[in-house]
Order: sequence, then C-alpha cells, then structure tokens
Amino acid sequence: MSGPTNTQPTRASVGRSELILAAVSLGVSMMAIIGVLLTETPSAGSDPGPASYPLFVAGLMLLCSVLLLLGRGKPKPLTWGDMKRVVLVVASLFLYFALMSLIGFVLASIVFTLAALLLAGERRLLVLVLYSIGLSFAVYAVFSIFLGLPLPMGPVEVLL
Amino acid sequence: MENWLIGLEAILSPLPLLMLVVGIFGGIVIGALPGLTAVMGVAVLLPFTFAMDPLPGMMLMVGIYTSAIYAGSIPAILMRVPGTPSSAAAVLDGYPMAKAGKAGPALSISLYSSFFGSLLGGIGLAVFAPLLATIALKVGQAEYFMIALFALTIIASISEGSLVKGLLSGLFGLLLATVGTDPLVGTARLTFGIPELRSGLDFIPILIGLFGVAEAMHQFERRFGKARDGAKTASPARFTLGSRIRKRMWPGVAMGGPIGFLIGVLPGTGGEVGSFVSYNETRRVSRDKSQFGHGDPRGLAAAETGHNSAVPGTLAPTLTLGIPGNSVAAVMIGVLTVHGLRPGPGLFEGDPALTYGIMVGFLLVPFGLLLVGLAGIRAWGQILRIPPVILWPAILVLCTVGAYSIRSNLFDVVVMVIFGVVGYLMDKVNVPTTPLVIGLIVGPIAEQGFRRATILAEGSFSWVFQPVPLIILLACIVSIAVSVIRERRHGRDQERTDNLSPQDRVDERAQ
Repeated sequence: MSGPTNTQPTRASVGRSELILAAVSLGVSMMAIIGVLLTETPSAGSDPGPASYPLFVAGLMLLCSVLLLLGRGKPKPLTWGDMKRVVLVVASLFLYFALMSLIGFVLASIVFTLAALLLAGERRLLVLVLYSIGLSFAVYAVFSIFLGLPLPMGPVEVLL
Repeated sequence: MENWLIGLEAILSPLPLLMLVVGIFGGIVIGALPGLTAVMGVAVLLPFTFAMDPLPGMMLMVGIYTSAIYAGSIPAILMRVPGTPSSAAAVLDGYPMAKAGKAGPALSISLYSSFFGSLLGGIGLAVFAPLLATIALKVGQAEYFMIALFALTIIASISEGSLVKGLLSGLFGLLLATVGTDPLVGTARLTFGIPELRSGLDFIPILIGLFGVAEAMHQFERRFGKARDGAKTASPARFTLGSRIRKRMWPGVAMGGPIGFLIGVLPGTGGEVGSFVSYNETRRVSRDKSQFGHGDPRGLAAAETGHNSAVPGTLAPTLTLGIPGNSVAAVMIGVLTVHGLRPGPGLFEGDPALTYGIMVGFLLVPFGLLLVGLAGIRAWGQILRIPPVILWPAILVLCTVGAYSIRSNLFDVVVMVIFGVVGYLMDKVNVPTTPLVIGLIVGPIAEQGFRRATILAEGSFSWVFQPVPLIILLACIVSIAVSVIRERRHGRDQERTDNLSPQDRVDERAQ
C-alpha cells in the first residue's frame, strides 16, 4: 500500500465564488440589520417589536456568512457561457418593462420578442416578423380578452 | 362524509374538469421538455388562474403538476436527460432499458407506475389531510414558528450545494418576507424609502423570476445546447406490458407508493427525494440487486411511483398548515392567496367544496393521466422537437405578462427581472433557490408565530421550551447535525480520492 504521492493540502481552501457569496450575504445581512434598527419601533408591552424578528433572521444570516468563510470542501468551478447574450437578455427585459408603460403591451411585446428571437439566433426574416407579431397578439388575446386580465394600454390596445 | 360529497359535486362541473384536462396536457409538454421544470410551469402558468375561481385554478395546477412529474421520465428514459430535475432517478434504470431496445416497456412501466403512484398518493392525501387539519387546529403559535424553521432546515439540508448555502438561501427568503409593513404594528420595514415596497414583495413575481427567467437566462447562455443532438431518440416499439415485466414492476410500486407519499408530506421535501429514497429502499430489500442501475424494472417502477406519490403528499402540509411541502406546492398556494384565501384549518372548515374538491381532483387526475398517456405515448417524442429558439422568447413573454397581471403593477415586472438575475447568480454559485422560496412563504407564518408566542408568554421567550416546540427545535438541530456529518464524510471521501495516486485508485477499484 503506497501512501499519497501528491502533496495536496488536506484542507481545501475556500473558492472564489464562496468568497463573493459570503461577502454579498454579509452585505445583505448588515444592510438589513442597519435598515431594521433605523425603523421606528413603538414599544408595545410584551410585543418584541417589528425589529425583533428581522434582527433574528439577519443575525443568523450573518452567522452563516461567517461559516461560509470558514468552510471547507471543494468549490465548484464557475463556468461562464455566452455572457454577452445573457446580459443582453436582461437588458431586453428591462427595455420591455419600460416600453410597456410607454407604448402598451402589444407593441412592447413585438419589440421584445424580436429582440429575444435575434438573441436566440433566429435570422429568418419571415419568422422574426410573423412570430413577434403573432405571439404578441396571441398572448394579448388570451390574457386580456379571453381571461379579462388588464394589460398596459397603448395605441394598439385602444384600437382593439 | 358529506364534505366529500360537497367536494365531489364541486369538481364534477365543466370548468374544473376542463382545467384538469388542460393541465394534464400542458403538464406533459412541460415535463417532457428538458429545461422546463414543473415549478417553472406552474409558476409561469399561475397567472392564468387569476381570472377563474380557486377550484378550477387549482385543478389546472394539479393537472400540470401531476403530469409534468410523470412526463419528466420520458426524455429521461429516451435521452438520458430528465425532463424535470426530479425525474433524475428514472434515468438510472430507464435509460439502460431503452438502450437495450426496451424503450416501449420502459415507457409503459413509467406510465403505470406514475398512475399507481399518484393514485396511492391521492388516497393518502384523502385519508391524511383531514386528520392533519383537525390536528392543525391545535397547533399553537410557538409550534408554527418551529415547524416553519424545521421546514427550512430540512429543505436546506437536502438541497444541492452545502447546508450553509441552503440555510443562507432560506434565511434570505425569510428576510425578504419582512420587507413591507409590519403585520402587527403597521410600521414600514426595510422599504429604504421606495414607496412600492410598502406593500411588501409579492412572492409570485419572485417565483416567476427565480424559476422562469433564471432558467431562460441559463438557456440563452448555453445557446440551448446540450443532449438535444447526439443522443439517439430510441423509437418506442411495443407499448403493451409483457406480463413478465408487469410482475417485476410490483415490488417497486409497493415500496414507492407509501415511501414517496410520506416523504412528500414532510415539509420541504418532494418528488426528487421521494423517488430516490424509494429507489434506494427497493434496491435494499431486493434479493437480486445486480440489475439495479442496469435496467431493472423494479428500479424504474420504484423511482416513478415514489416520485408521483410524493406529489399529493406535498399538498398535505400545504393545505392543512399553509406550510408548503415543496416549491411547486408553494406556487399552488398562490392560486389561493390571489383570491384572498389562506390555506390552513380555517379553509378546511370554511370551504369544504374547495379543499375536498382538490382532494377529489387528486384522485381523478391519475385516471386522466393514464388515458392521455396511453393515447399519446407515441406522440411524446415529437414534443421534444419544439425549437428552443421559438420556445424561450415565448416563455419570457409569458413570464412578463404573468408578473404584471398579478397586481396590474409594472413594479412587479422589475421585481421579476431582478430576481431572475438573482436566481441565475445563485445557480452559478451553487446556492439552492428552493429554500428561498420556502422561506418567503413561511416567513409571515414564522414571524407571526414568533411575535404572538412572545406576546402570549408576556414578553419572555419561555415558549421555546414548551414540550412540543422544544421537540421540533430538537428535530431541527438533529437534521442540521445529520447534514453536517454527512457533508464531512462526503468531503473526507472526496479528499481521500483526490489524494490518491492513479495506481492507488486502480488498487482501490480492484478491491
């Protein structure tokens, strides 16, 4: 029986993603603690008050963040795919939200679907045009007309 | 008895039944498409239920939930890719069977196991839930707090990633639930001056973001790649069960049914755990273990039965205590809350048409599933051909519409996108998102329990040491301890194998 022939340390160091996570959760719990301590807490007899429970939870979060820093175990490597695409998708979603309040649901959906299709790699003009328009109207029809749920109004909706 | 009749009468009307059927079809598509999960399907389609009464809405969800859980096994068997994450156990014996040319019998076993599983689970729910509801009346504030905590520790300990990450996720969920107005006193909390936050964070946009938008982001990042191409779709040849295979199926079904259901009942656990534990236990009690993992019908039957019987199980704590059995059940709570209803013993008393109707629905859905499944088994392969380029933009549109239509509030769309990013990042660093959802839902329950118990104990925390809360607290500690020990052991084994030289590894394997 041969002993271990490489000299890897027996205690795995904390991965970078864990460090970032710990930092973020420390930040969040601190923010919560400060935020809660700033709220007015009218004392009401035996009620521990609106700050008590959030403090308890945030305190535990703090503890867990510290535990994360002290942790062991092999960190899973962060893999990144096509990040540009991801960022653009998120940007498109924000754009979608902004447009909806300005030009109404249908028009905003057409623009967004177009963007999403392009980001998904679709290049055929027929699909781009027909699908964007078709999907937007179809969803509008189902949600607003069939189900009666209100959607942001714009020039198109007023006409329908 | 009359409650059952009320429930039956409520269900046997056109809209609930229609919604059940629609749900079954929708669920099969969602379940069969890898990348679409049951949670996501239920979350994205939740807004469709806003316009209808709670019972048809719940029937839609029940249909989707049940059939998505079944259909996840289809690509698992044919392509080694689970259609929904919790169908992973079906791969173990299902895929080897398909490779050996027995895809047809494998799919049949899966269908019949799912049928029996969901039926057994439905019976379990019918028996168990009313009992649990009467006990629930005696559950006090302190107990609610402890049970909520317990649910979180369980879900944190079984989730992907380490226990600490699971706990962080759950605690974050609890914290998010406190944003808004204090329930007892009415002061604004953690709103940071943003007026829209005064009414708190609605959990539905968060849900849609975490599960729908985040998954879409992953898909776009991966350019929809994966085991789509390459793995040959085995064509299902025969669909009738040979009697030889049918005989072999039963041990798996017999074990999977009760085990899956009981695991589903535990707050925080659901289909995945149900199917794996059923699989393991069936394997353990079998005399001939050699075929497990290589195409043993019992393995597939156990996994699928356990998987499906957990589904009604998760509704037991959800309906009776308001504490979701897992994240899908958590979303289903949304169907009720949107109509101003709160799950719990009050709902059982006050609206038997709804609660007993739901339980009757769970008894009906297996039959619907069986019919649809038998009729369509050949067609399911076609579903896998929907081009992702078309699918994912549509999903994002549906998510956005869904988030908006809850409160006709564009702010909810922003919340959805933000939590889409949060969910995406959480997945990247291997922090499970389910505890966050559970935390968000049980947060108010936990806090009310905490505050009210303290008020009742006149300002002291002595309620922690009352017998029942104390027992539950000890259960929490035990589950955390078990999880830590298991992690340590796994970590040590991992390090040991990492430190071995290649020769050592060969020697090890030879032993």
